[in-house]
Amino acid sequence: MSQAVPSPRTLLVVEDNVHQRLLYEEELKDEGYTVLTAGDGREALEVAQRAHPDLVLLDINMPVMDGLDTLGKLLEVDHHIPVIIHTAYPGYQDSFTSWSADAYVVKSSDLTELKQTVQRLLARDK
Amino acid sequence: MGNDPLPSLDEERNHYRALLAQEQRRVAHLSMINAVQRCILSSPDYATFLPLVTQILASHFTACDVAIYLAEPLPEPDDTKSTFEEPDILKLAAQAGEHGLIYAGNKEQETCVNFAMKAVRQEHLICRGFAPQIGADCEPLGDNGQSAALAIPFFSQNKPLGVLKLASTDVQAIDAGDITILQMIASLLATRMESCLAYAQVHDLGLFQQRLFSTMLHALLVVDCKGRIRSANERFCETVNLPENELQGAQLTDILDSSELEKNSILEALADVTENGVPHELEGVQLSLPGVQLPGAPLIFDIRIFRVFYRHQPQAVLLFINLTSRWRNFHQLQLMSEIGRYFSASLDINKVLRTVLTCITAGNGLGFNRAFLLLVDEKKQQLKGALALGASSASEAQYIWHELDENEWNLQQILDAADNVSESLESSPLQQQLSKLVIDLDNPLLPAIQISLDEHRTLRVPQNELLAGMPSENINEVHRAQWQQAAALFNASEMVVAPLLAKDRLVGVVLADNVFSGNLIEDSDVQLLDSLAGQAGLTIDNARTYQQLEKAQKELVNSERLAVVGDMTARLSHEIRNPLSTIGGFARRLCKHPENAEAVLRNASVIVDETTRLEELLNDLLEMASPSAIELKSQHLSEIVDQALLLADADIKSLKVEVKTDYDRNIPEVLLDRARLLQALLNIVRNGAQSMPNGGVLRVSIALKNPAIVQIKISDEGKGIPPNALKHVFDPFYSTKLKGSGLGLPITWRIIQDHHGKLEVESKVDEGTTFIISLPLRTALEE
Repeated sequence: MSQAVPSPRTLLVVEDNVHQRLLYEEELKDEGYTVLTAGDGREALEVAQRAHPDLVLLDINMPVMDGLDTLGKLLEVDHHIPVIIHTAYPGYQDSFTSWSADAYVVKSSDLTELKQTVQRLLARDK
Repeated sequence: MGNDPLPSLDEERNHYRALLAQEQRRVAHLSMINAVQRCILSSPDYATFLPLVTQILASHFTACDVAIYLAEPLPEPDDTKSTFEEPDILKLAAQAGEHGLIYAGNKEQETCVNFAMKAVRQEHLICRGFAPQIGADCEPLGDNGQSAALAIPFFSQNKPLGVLKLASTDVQAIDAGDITILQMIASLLATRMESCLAYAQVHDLGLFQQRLFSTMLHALLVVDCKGRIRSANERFCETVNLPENELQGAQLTDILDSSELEKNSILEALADVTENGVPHELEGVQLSLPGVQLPGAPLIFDIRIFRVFYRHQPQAVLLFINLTSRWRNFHQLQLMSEIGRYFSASLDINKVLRTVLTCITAGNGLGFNRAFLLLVDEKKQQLKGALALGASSASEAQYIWHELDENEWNLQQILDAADNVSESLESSPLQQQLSKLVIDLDNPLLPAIQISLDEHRTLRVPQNELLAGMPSENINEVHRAQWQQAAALFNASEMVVAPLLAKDRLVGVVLADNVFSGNLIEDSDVQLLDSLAGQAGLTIDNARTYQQLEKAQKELVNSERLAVVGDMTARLSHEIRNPLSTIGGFARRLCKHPENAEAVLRNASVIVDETTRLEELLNDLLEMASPSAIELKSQHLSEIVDQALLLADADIKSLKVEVKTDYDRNIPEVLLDRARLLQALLNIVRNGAQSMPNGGVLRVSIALKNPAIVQIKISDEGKGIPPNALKHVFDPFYSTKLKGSGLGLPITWRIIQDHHGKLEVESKVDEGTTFIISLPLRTALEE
């Protein structure tokens, strides 16, 4: 028997920019998710270990790629956790999809693609 | 008279007769002495006068035969030992008389000599009553065949010179008076012989010295105190190509170039030598001598000068030791290494070609009049005229040589000058002529070039071998035209052809001649050109390879530049997309939730913030792309630093940062662009403050590093920059700071650069970062 009200899925938003963090948090909350946030990689790992989110939205500030360490460590915590790489660079998509990330979304003021990807990955994961 | 009986008339007559006879004898003796004296003075050579002396004596002592023996060896006139030494032998030197008593035969001569030899130990020896032909060793033989012999030795300083001997079949032929007279004559002979021997020795010595002097390997010159040439040896005459009689009495300054004399202080040295007797040695003197005045072929001498006296007059002897060939060998070795250096100094193909030809034509290089360089076109199998160097005419050549002489340029200076005049050089008539020259590698009309290229040999060839005779009608027209062009250019009587090779590959060919000076091309020149061509071939090949490399590198740099631009674009897109997506996102939220006033206000303020960030980015980008021109004014650095701290006050206070300053107040006003330096300082101060979110001390100091440089140091106590990031801090968009465009430090760096200063950064993780700005201490006065 399926549950009447499915428990809300938990998302972890890793984003160093305060304003963007706020934006994604609010927008994704509006979609009905429980949203946890982290400002940097260390904080993200702490939250992930503590709260076991269902999906991670990871900002990678390329080409410095400061998010990659975080990605590796996140995957150490949970191999199966879906990760969306969220970045302002459109150019590195190919190299990243072959990587461990499940999706690569280029930042945009229109969050439709992001939301759809989150939905798709969570559905697949079920 | 007393009672003595008067002498009878007869007695009287006899007495007077005797007196008369005595007087006549004395007169005869005196006239004989006179004759002998005249005779011995008539010649300085005793071999000439001794026979005459014997004749005079024989004609006086008609009953006698006369002989003169000489000691062998004769004593040296300058031998000062006065001990008596018997001569080894006595040798018959002269004889006269008709009695056959002086024998030339061996046995008899020996006994005669023995008699004479015996006399040597005595004043004189007289024997009577023996066979005169047998000699003094024999006892007198009684009445039968009785005879007399007299031998008188004569000496020079106690050393026997010889013996004067008279022999007669008449026992009474010689009396005591005769002996006295003959002793006189013997001593005359001795004196004269002595002087003759001395004369002969001086003469021999003179001849000996003359021979030494004239056959010496080195040129030698004797000059008096008035600078006149007294004598010159053969070698000197040959060297200057003048006969000795023209040199004698000539002024030294007329024979040698006066400017060279002056340059090498030869006249001063001469004066010092003749006046003070101080010998001088002048080393490596370069002289151009009459008859051997060839440009590019200097003669090099070591000159030794020392004093001699001639008739109490001081004179200077100049010994010229010709070092030209030794020096030339050395010079050539040096030259080749020098040329090698020049060759390797440049990889610009045109400069290399010019260097090659300059080295061939420069007087202190190989010294050829003209040089031509043709390069191989491998595709077309042709030689193409590349560069020609040298005068276009004899008068131009004279002018150039004169100029070079005047200026005394070394090879480097000539090369530098050639660089400067390369344009005019390229438009020279010779160059224009050569540029048109193309020779097919298989053109049979230029056989020497073919041989040189085929056999990889440097050749010296007369013109008729370089250019085969006037081509006949049935020769290919193109080849004929090439021949005519070549013939117009290569018109010297002989030329050197040297192939230019890189390893075994043919690069080109060099031709050189002495068309204007007409100097013969020597083996050493050919050798030099050969080794120079060897180096030149490699150098030209290197330069060509480098040219290709340079081209490839340029392409590489272009692609690199594209990569950098791509990188910049990526970074820039990040910098724009982030705020843009934030602005858009919040704007959409505004549209979606216009009812929540609190959220609207917050969302709107985020939009304002992000828009400001975008504007800042745009300003920085513009500043980076086209910085405003720098405007320098004299001002106090500390004031600008203070203002920067004031402007950053908000950041500083909000972060609880404490500022500690330490200014050297004695620093004068410096030329600065106030607004831009302020911007640079502000960037650093803000960076420093922001690196200490939990507070800390920001230290700012101004001090003189040295009298020419003033330094501003700004240190924070922040988390520091990791070493791998430190080298990128001035790269655009490298910053990972939350605030700012990522262009702050690059712009700061640029501003300091524009002030001709230096921006450095030192950092230790967890300890802090120090930015050091070094500015030149320029004051208004210097500007």
